[in-house]
Amino acid sequence: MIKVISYFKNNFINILLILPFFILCLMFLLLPAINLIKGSFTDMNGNFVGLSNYYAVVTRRYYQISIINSLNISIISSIAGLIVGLLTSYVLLRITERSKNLLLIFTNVTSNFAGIPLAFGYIILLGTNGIITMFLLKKLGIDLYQNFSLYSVTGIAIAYLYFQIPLATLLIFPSFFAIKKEWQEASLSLGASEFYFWRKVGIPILTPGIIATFVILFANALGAYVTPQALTNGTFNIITLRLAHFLTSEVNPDYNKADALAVILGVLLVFSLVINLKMNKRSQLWQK
Amino acid sequence: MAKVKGISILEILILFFFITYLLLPILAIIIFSISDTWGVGDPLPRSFTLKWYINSFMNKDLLISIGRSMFISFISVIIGLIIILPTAYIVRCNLRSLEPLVRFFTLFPYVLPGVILALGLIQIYSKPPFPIAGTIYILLFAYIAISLPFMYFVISNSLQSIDVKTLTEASQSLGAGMIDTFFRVIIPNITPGIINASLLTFAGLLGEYTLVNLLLGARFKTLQVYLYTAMNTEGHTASVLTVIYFIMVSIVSFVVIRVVRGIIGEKKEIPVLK
Repeated sequence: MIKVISYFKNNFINILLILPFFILCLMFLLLPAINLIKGSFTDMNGNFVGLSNYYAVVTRRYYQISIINSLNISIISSIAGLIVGLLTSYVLLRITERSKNLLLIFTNVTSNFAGIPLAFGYIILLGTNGIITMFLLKKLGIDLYQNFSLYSVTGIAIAYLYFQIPLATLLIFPSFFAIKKEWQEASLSLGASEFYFWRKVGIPILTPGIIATFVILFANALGAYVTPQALTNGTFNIITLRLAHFLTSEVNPDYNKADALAVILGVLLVFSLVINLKMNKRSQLWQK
Repeated sequence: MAKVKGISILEILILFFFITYLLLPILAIIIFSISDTWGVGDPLPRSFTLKWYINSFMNKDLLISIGRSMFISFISVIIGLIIILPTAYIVRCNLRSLEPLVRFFTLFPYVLPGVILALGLIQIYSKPPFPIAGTIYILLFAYIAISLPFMYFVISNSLQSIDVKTLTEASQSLGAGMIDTFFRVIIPNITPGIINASLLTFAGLLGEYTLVNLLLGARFKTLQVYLYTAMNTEGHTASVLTVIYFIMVSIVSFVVIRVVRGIIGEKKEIPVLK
């Protein structure tokens, strides 16, 4: 106790100066999170109700579909984004330094386009009267909308890819530096084929980085709100749009059910983050 | 890795796909913003015009919405800097034991996307002791709170790269006090980091829609709120506003890249603001 008091005495001014940071984080990040968790276990009057809010959310068809849709879109767009990101990173390593830098700048700049502009751009391109839709219909006679819609799981996943591909590329690219030139030369000179080298050395070294990137992409897609909201005008059934619906459209929102749904989403995100941190540690072993 | 001089056709195709994918929606909006007559069912417009730009530049509501966005983003960045600079310096220099706690808070944006944060904030701040829900203050505080982790990250990295401990000791052994050391030695040495953190946060907040929409709705029409409404009612104005917004954030990106070379390599550990 005396130790604590003397610590505060000695560092009084320092502690005073960093206090605003902690107060803000506490009031506007930690407190909302704690309040959501608390709310998910209570009823309107604050009485503890166990898991009944969760039970209601998980068993109601409406919420079930939102969770399934969210997981579906996130997994599809993360896998597709990861594949394109891996291919692009591989090519980035083989082109000149100058063009590589230009491409990375281009990737950074276009990442500002996510959200409403992105949804708008896709509606102009692939909407029912979109440029590509009309081009295919009038010039090639292909009716895109026979088995595709921009406002379906596939359509939204295609829109998500716009921010998943650059993110995947920027995250996975540094992992490639772990693969030393000497190892490749050594294995090639010992008679291994390029394919064999990647199968036995390259891919295993990249694996922690790939998993770390995948979970970030997954979390990124799960938490996305603006793009699907703008694309479907809030009508598509995914978790984030359900949560927003509680806040914008309902007169007397059942906050406790919303809290339970939010905590389900939050737990998925925490889980992704923990895997990411673990895998990053592992992949950094190779990068030293 | 071995650098191969010529790259194969397959690799060119991959690059082409990558660039086209990122470029197409931007091009679509630019074309839309200068399109004049567009026949029903035509893939591309028949004639072009700049009238949407002229209209937009005379549209008071639109200009005010840009002003609002710049105002709230600017204020958030300034207050954020005032809070984060001393925090990062003190944690780095004197109170190393608090670093894990600060790092813990920097992870929050990952697990609290805007929708969840808004849901939590509204429930707490709709009732006493702080009934600020529905006012601009809740948005301002939320913006500062979500910016702090990212700003801390960049500033802390800058402090790490200048060996702040040695600089402080040198400055103090020459008779400078803590305040002098902070303003005349430390700050000038991490200026690139400060510019980088400020500009990226500013650009990120300019594009913020989730919190402003869910916390304030139509009560505070920022650029993004205006854009969303216009997208469904006056598409051409929306496309012009998108082009203006994109030019603004691109300028910011270019300045950041110029100021801090090699930022792209660091990106791996920078949390995603959006």
